[in-house]
Amino acid sequence: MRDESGKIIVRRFWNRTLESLLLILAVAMGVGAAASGLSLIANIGSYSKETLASPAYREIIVSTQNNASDMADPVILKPTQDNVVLTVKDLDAATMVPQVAYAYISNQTELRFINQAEAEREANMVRDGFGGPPPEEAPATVIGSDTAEPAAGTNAGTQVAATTTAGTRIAATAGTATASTDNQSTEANNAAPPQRFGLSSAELEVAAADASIIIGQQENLAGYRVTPQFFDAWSMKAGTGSLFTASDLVGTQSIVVLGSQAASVLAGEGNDPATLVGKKILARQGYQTVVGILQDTGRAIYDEAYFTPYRSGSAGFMGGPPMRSMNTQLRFSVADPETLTETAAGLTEWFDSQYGEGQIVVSNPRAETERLMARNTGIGLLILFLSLAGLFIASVNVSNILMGRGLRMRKNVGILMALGASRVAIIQLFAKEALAISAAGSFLGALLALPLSTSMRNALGISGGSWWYLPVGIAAAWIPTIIFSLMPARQNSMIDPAQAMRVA
Amino acid sequence: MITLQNVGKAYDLGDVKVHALKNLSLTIDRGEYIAVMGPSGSGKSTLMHIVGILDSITSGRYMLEDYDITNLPDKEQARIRNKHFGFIFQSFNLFSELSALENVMLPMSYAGVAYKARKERASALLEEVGLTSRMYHLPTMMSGGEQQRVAIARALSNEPDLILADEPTGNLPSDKGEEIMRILEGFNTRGVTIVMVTHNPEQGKRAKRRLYIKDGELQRDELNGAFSLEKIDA
Repeated sequence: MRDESGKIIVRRFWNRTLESLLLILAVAMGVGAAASGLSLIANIGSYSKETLASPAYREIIVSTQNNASDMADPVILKPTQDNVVLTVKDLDAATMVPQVAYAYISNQTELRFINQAEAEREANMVRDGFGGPPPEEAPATVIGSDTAEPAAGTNAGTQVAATTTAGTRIAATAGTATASTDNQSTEANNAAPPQRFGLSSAELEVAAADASIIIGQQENLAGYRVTPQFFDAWSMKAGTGSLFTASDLVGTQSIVVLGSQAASVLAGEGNDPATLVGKKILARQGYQTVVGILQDTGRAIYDEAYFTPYRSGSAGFMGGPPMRSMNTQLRFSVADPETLTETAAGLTEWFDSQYGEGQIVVSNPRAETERLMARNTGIGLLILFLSLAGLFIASVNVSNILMGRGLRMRKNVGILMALGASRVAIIQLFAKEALAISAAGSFLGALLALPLSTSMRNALGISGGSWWYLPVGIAAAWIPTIIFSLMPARQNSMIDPAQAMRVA
Repeated sequence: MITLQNVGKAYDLGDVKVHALKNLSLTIDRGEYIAVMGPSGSGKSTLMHIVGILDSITSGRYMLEDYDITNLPDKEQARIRNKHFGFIFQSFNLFSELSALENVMLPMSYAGVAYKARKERASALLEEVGLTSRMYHLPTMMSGGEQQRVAIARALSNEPDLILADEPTGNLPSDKGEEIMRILEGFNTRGVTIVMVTHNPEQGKRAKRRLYIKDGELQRDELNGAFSLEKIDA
C-alpha cells in the first residue's frame, strides 16, 4: 500500500489484533448464519414447489385396507372385509367423479434378464445340486416370438421354450424371479416352487447371434405394470415407437415400453436406442417385445425403468368374482390440485357405496406432503428469523466497535483534515476499513455457511434447489454488515476538525 | 495575502453564547513573521483555526488573496488547507503508526503527488531539518525536538504560503525550543509566511510583528521593537 492514510488504518488494525479479529468473527458468524437461513428458506420453497409439481401429488390413491400398508395415512376405522378386491374395473369410478382427469394403475415389477452371468449361475446351481430338473428333463413349450404371454407373476413357474426365428429351441423360465410388489404376483410366486433353469451357454450363444434378440447385460431392470392413462397422467410421450393402448391390456403379446435411460443401457454404448424398437428382450418372463421408447422425463425412476401393460383383468375363474391376487391400488389423477379434497370425497362416496363404508382407504398424498412442507417452512422461517436477529446484533456490535475506533481516532481525523483531507477522503478512509472487515468476515462467514447450510438441508430432508441460493444469501447478508459498518465512517467524517484538535 | 474583516466567532452552548472572537480585522501579507500573543482563553487558537480554515466564522468576511472563502464547500477548503497552509502543533500531532518519512509524505498524498516524488521531497525536507538518519523511525522512538522537526518538515511538504504554528516550542526544553525557532526563522527568511501563537515573550520579540489578543479582541498589532500600528478597541 502506497497511500499513507491507508497505512494508518492498516497498522491500527494490526495494532489491535484481538479487537480486529473479534470484529471479523462477529461479521462471519452473523453472515454465516443469515446466509444459511436465507439459503435454507429458498431451498425449502424450491423443494416444496418442485415436489408438489409432480403428478404424484395430483392424485388420489384408492386401496383396500389390507393393501394400504405403503400408503401415507391409512386410518382403519371399520373392521376389514377380507373379500374386498379392487380391480382394473374399479377405475370406472373416474366417470362418476368429474374432477378426475386420469385413472390408472401403476404397480412395481421387475424384469430379470437371461444372459451369460445368469447361465453360469444356473450351471453352478445345477452342479451343486440345487434347483429342479435339468433343462432337457423339463417340460417345454415351443413358442414363436408372437405366441408367448408370460404375464408377470400369473404364470410363475411355467417353463417356456422359445423358438427363435432361426429355429433354435431356447428354454426360458418365466416368472420365477418376478419381483412385482402387487399382491397378485406375490401370491403367485409363493404358490409355485422356484424354477432355477434358464438357457445353457450354448443356447445363449445362439440367441446372442440373433439380431432380433436383446440380451441385457445387467441382472435385472425395475419396471411398472401400468394402464395406458398412466402415461397421460405423467405427461410421458413416446420418443420412438408407440405406447400402450387399452387393447393391449387384453392382448397376449408381451410388450414393453422402455424409459430413455433404460433403452440407452440396453442398446449399449455408442448404439442408437431407437433400433431396439421391434426387438425382443430375453428375460425369465419370456420374450418382451419393445414397442416404444419414452422421451426423457427428467425423473430417474421412470427414465431408468420399463413399462408393461397391466393385465390382471377384473373377473375370476370362469367369470366368477375376482380373486384376491387381482387386488390392486388405483390411482386417480386430477388436473387441478385444488380439487383433490373434493375428488377424494367423491371417490370415497363412490367406493363406500360399492364396498361398504370404511372398507376402502382413499389417500391424498398431497395433503400429507403439504403438511410436511408447511412444517419445513415454519422451521425454516424460525431459523431465518433467529439468524437474521443474530446478523442484526452482530452488525450493531460491529458498528459500535467501529464507531469507538473512529472516536479514538477523533484527534487524528482533525489532523488529517488540517493536512488537507476532505470529509469525503475521511469517509473513504473509514469505509475502506469497514469494507475490509466486512469482506473478510463475509468470506469467513461463507466458509461457515457451506457446511451449516448443507447440514440444515440434510436435517430437514431438503434436496434439489439451486447452488446459487447460498451465494445470494451471503451477498444479501453482507449488505446489512456493509451498511452498519459504513455508518460510523460517515459519522466520523462529520467531526469538526477544530473541535477535534481542541480536544486533543 | 489574507484579510479578515470584522470577523466574529461565537459558540452556542445552549443558554450561553461564548464570543471567542469579536469584530476582528486583520491583514497578513506574504513573508511576514507574526507572533500572536495573549492570555489563555483570549482567542489565539480560535484565530489560528479560523485563519487555517479549520473553523468557520459566524460573522465578517475572510478573503484569501481576492477570493472570499467564507462559504467555500468542504472539498475546496480541504484543497486550500493542503496547498496553501502548513500546520505545526504544540503536541506535534504526528501519526504514531507512520515513520517520520511517511508522516512528511502524508500531506503530499492528498495533493496527488506521485509516490516517488513525494518520497524524494520528504527525504529532502527531513535532511533539511537534520533528520536524515531518523527517516524510518516511528515518532515514539524520537525525542520531542525531533518530532517537532518532523512536524515542521510535514508542514512544509506542499510548499505552503503560510505556516500556522500553535505554540511550537510549548512542549520542548528551552534548547530544543531554540532549535525549532531557528529552523522556523530560517524558512521565514526564505519567504515562507509564519504566524505563530506563543506565550513566550522572548519568542514574541523575535517575530517581526506581534498581535495581542484579549477576550477575543485584537488589542495591539505592532511591528517588532517599534510602535503600535493600530489599536482596536471594541
